[in-house]
Amino acid sequence: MTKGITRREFIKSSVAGSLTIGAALSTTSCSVSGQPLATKSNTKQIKRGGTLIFATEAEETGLDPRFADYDTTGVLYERTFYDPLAILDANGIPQPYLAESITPSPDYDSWQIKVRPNVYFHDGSLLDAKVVQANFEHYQSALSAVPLTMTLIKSVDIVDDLTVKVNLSSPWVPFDYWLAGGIGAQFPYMLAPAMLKASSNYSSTHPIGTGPFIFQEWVPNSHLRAKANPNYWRKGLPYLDAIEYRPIPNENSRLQSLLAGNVDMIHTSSSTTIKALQASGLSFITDAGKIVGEPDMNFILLNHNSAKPFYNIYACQAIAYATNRDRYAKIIGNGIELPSDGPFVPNTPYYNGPTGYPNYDLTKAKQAVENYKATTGIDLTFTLGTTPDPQSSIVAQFLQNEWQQAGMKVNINASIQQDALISNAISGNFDAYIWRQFAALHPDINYIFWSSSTIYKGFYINMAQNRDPIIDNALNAARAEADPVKQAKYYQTVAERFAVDIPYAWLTRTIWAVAAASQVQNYDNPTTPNGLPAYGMISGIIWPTEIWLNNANRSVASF
Amino acid sequence: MLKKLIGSVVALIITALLGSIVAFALIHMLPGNPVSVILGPAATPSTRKALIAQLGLNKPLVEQYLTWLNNFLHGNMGIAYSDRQAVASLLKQNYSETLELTLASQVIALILAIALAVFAGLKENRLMDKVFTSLSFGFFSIPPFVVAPILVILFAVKAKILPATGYSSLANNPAQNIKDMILPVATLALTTFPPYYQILRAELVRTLKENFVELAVAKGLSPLKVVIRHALKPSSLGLLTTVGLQLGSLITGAFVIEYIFQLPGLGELTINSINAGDYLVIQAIVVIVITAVGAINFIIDLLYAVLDPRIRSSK
Repeated sequence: MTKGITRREFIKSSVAGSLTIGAALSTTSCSVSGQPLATKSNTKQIKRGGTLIFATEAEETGLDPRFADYDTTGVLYERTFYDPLAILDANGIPQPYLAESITPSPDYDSWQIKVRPNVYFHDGSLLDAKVVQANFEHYQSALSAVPLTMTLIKSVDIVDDLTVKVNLSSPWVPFDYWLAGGIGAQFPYMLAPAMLKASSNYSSTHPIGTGPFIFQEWVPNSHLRAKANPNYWRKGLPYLDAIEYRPIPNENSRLQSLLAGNVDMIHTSSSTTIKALQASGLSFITDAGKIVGEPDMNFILLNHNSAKPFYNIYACQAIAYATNRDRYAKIIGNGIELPSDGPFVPNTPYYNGPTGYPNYDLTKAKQAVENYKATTGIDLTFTLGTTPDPQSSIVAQFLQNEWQQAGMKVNINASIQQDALISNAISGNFDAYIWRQFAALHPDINYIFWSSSTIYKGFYINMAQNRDPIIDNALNAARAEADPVKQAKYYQTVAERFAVDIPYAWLTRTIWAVAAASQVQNYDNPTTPNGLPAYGMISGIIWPTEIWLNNANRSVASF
Repeated sequence: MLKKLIGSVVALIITALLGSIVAFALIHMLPGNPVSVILGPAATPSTRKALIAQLGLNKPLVEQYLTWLNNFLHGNMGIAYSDRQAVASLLKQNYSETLELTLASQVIALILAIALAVFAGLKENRLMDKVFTSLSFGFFSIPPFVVAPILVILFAVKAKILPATGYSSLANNPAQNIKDMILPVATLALTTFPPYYQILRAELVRTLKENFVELAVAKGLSPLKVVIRHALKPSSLGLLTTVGLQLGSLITGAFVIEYIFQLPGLGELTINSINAGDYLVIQAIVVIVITAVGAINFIIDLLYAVLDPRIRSSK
């Protein structure tokens, strides 16, 4: 059990600090935080009906959380058809959601999860302990990335009709954060038994969950449609008749769709689009001043394999010293993105001031380049790779220009398709890649990317191949530490070690925005099942459950 | 005629076969594989190996190609790696939009080109001829990805009379479909009509100087009737040839338009499949496009004989 300050008190004080900063950092032309919560007292204001059209930044590879590798859009889909076992409250602390209670054992080597009674899937089947157990088993045996996130789960036993006990191979204190189902945590979404049986080895395209909306139609890269669940276990919800997601990867097209009134909401992580939103007069919110866990970070992924230039620490230092992150944030980030010096951001428990990551210093960069040559006998030459989109090319050219001033020879390969980018990263066939990653509700969710235990022969989930026993020890200790202050200190150690090893050349933290047309109401005021405020938008992901439309002029019949 | 038809079909089959081999080889020369996109970076080596085996990607390339060919010839195009939908089903969902976009844009482009060329031919070297010629050069120089956003800003964002993105099928909602397709069709038509106009105008100007045209004028026919009844047909051979030659740029133009306007067509499917390394989808699209281009060129060959009696009688 925890001693001293409780986790709730600790995180609450951090969140209070971040919200104060957030008031200053948030854009001035937006705000929906003043909108009333959809509580019983103001339900008369709510208008039911209508169809919301949400334009997403990408399409997903499937609608089954067991098999797909979900990013922001995927978690939106999950929250539409399924429910996670937990939800973060307004203070960023996991609370039961589909579960009625989530209770750890005193030493956190098992967790008891009791699901709510009388909750039904879209096909009418009942959610009970057997279904929860079956879900865990199917997730653990899926031919996908999900099992790797469940390696600590030894077994799942049935305690009674509604309760399971998850037995762990070692203490797992942040397990309830995983149960809140953010990016990287897909197993807490409960699937219907029929869905578990139907798809043997691969992705089902017909999701059956307990969620607020029921699947209607999916045309990949065109639209995903769902209608309201009339038997949703949260009585009175959802307010909408239907919801439609339209993947529009082109940032300009997505914004113009919103401005033209073709879609009701968009999300974006493009600083250019956020700048345009500032000038548009539309309602939007950003996560600039608030974050739980850690946000997506923009950085250069450096390959520390012994055959690569960045195995030599001087090469890593040269990159770090030669990159002017403030200038990057101003020019590439349009003054919207915030420079970063580690995986964590200020006003979260895991940030403890500057990490010691090298600040811009061209003289030191040149010295590091010379040191590299002195120790290896060759010039520091490498290839910076990225995908063939205009923005990535701009970033690559900016960085090439910065680094070449320090004497490095930088080639750009901006023609790497997404599948090749990931393949090369995990097989170690790269020097340096422009990268974005690490959004997570809790740092433990990034364990597999930071621990050297996921460096295999020929495959490297720790793509930087950074072997640091101090980081490994800190990560392992953090997941077993119940005292939130001590736990946070372990992650601070991780950040400080990253500043020494430099597997990632930090640039900025990604800022996400969600924008809405004027008729869209209550899109950032979710609540827990008990009616208390829940955490709003995280990394462009909202809860569709409690949104309503002032002008419900689109009916389901128009599909 | 039958001999020509059989010869064309055989040539088309051989071309499609060779095209599929080249496409298969090129796709597999690219680094990466679809398993990386499906699993992302966080999967164990054993999981990757198992999925590669399940998808048959561990087999020798020749065997993979022959398996694909055998299945294809039996009507089975396989299952897309990225979203596990049948490739045939994906193509069925997506082909109608591309067909609608290309057909509608080319009909409008041809009508525009013919109308302007007739007018310009009648008013050779006068002000309107020069205006139309300049406009056509202008649109020829501006790529579709520049024209499209301008039209969107004007008609969708500012005037709010047309949508910026989105697509409703003709079968489900004809009125909305027409609204959805106006800007994409206009973009493609405006950027593909210039060569049609230029070629036809030049041919008309030349034909209008022929003796038989002078005879028609001497008989008292109005200039417009002279052009339409006597000059247009013999001047259209070059136009037909241009239509055939433009097919390649028409298809790539359609692909770009679909991406900008987020239309669920073959172009968008191709781009997404390339990004995801979805070999089966790319293969199928290559074969379909080769077949379509071959078929259209065959029709153009036939139309030559319709337009020019000398070609008919020489056969």
